[in-house]
Amino acid sequence: MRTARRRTANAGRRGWASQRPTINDVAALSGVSKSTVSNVLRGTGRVSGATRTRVLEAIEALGYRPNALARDLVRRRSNTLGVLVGDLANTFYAELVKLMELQASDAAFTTMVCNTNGNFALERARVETLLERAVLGVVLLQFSGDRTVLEELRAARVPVVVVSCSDERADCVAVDDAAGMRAAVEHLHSLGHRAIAHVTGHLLEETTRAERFAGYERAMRDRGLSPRLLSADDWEHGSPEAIRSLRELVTGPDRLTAFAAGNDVMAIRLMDALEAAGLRVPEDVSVTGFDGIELGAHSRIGLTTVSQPRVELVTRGLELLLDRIRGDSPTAAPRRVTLAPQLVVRDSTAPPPTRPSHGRALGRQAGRE
Amino acid sequence: MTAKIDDGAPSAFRRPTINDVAALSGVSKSTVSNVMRGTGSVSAATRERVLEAIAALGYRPNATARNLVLRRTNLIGVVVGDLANAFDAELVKRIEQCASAHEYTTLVCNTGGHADLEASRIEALLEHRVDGIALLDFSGDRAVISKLLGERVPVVMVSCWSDYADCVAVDDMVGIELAVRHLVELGHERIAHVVDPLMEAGTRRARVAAFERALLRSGIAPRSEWTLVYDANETGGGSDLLALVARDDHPTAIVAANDYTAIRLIALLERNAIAVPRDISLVGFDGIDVSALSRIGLTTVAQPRDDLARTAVDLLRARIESGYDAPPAQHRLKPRLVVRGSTGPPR
Repeated sequence: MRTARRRTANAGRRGWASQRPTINDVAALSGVSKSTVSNVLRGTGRVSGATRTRVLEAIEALGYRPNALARDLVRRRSNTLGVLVGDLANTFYAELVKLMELQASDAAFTTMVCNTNGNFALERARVETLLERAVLGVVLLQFSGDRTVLEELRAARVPVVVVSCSDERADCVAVDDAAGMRAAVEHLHSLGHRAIAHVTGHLLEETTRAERFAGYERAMRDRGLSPRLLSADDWEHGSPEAIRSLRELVTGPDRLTAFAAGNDVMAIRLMDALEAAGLRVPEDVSVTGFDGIELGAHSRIGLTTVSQPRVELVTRGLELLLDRIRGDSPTAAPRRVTLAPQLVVRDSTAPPPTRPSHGRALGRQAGRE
Repeated sequence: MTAKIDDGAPSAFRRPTINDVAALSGVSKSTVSNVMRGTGSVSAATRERVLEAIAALGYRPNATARNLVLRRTNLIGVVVGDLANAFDAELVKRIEQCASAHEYTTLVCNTGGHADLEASRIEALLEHRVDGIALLDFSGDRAVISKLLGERVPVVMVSCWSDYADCVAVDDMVGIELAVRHLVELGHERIAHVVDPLMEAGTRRARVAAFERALLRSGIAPRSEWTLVYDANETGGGSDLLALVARDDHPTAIVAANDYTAIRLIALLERNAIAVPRDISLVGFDGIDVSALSRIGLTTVAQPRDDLARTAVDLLRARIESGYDAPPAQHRLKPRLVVRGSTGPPR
């Protein structure tokens, strides 16, 4: 018996629909009409207790499963939410997707997850796919800011919520990025750092990138310091030239003593590149991240970071979306929920070195504090 | 009509239907359908009028309706144990990319390794009439297996094994053998094996057997008490392991079930003043990106992730698209040992 079934595990694909019991089979077995079966399933119409029992027994005996597709077609909706994510390989987003899937599932929704790699063209194509699939709502965990995407969604009348990044044209839940970067700069400044660079890269969604940079820039200018922007993409592949030029930023005339990165993944890769360049973290240079991924808390990494409240991001985001889907406030103006990020100090930050090689930069700045 | 919509959505959210297109262009529904499918004879003028109506209304043919006719959904369900484990997330990302290159959309479900969640998520996928399912982790639950068999939905196991469906995974035996031989060559004789509770029972048994065989081949007698289960997600876990390494004849090396577990173990051991690799050498399995960071420097048995994802999608497509109905086949890929700083000679 088992071998026979095993052989057919993937067999007979062509006719799967015909092999599954249909509503007709249920009607035939229970000796009632199709519409009576349908009434029993939907709890509508008048059906006697005995008939109901007979129909339910037939359903059970046949293993009949009402077709979600057909049901969706009748209701003109699915119970599916689309989730667009920029980079699943970044554990911050993987963890958000995991939480989103769990909470959506608790609310009886299935999630369709699409990865965009932060690419405009892919983002549009995936949104188009989700619309074709008649999703009830879309969660953008990362959003390029592409206007046509939002217009498509609006034209299709599909509610959308932007989570962990911001867009004033849609409901969004995000931490105050600028405040988070300010906290990072304040922390570094209070340790004595003055030459602090901001590190960002292409996998960080554009509006987030812009807001975090703005927060950094403002915090620097408020302290009379000049901002300095670096691209993490430069040393992503760890080429010898990239590592050399990174070293030059610290030991050369720039004399950078700290890096405030746009997210944890970039910060951790930067630490790796700095150490490959023969520099020590935090003895020679300090590094901060943003997001609060699990790896940052690892004893060997110990990344000082600006942590985002993941559970709250997901809970509030889903609340806003379901609110729109249920039609409680479909035409209300876009709403924005801003959450407070939290600075978590670990081992990747320390006062700048007092070695002679850094003495000049320090001397210039010493008078300020 | 709008008053009767039973999805609870207000009229502002009602999507235009083929009826709206027909009404606006003054033709029948079947004419609209003919225009959209390029079938039947439709005059150029009518065609033009219908297309304008479609554009004006923003009508989008419903994939659900089309799929109902085609009996295909172009949906692939992906069931994953723990997206927080980078190996799973990196694999899901690649599967999504391969699937969407062939016009499939993925439905991703996270089970946390709970059999009940697994059963309910698979049920949800079946209700969506997915064309196929990729299981990245599988509890081995018999009820789930019989349900999948009964539904006759193509299934592929990725990086785990089952007799009931197509499988693509690295050869565990070869992988474990690589890890053990590397440690033995460094001079280790007391080697422990840490398995992950999320690992499907069959895979776990295969790994344990492979580990014992590899030891025997190196002339080392396996000790059953040196195979431990460690739940990386459980706070305060690992007391068994700490008790073992505190013994006088403690193991000098550990082969871990996966990189995620190994990286957690580094933190656990070092919190307890046991240095890696000075006191204990550690080998992982998977080859996730993080293992290559210099601060982690994990020696590991790397899996070819791109090949796993591509093969998995190809296997599903063969069953879905060409009705391929041969008995399930097992595809074993070659793992590769990557030596880094977490292994060294015993003290």
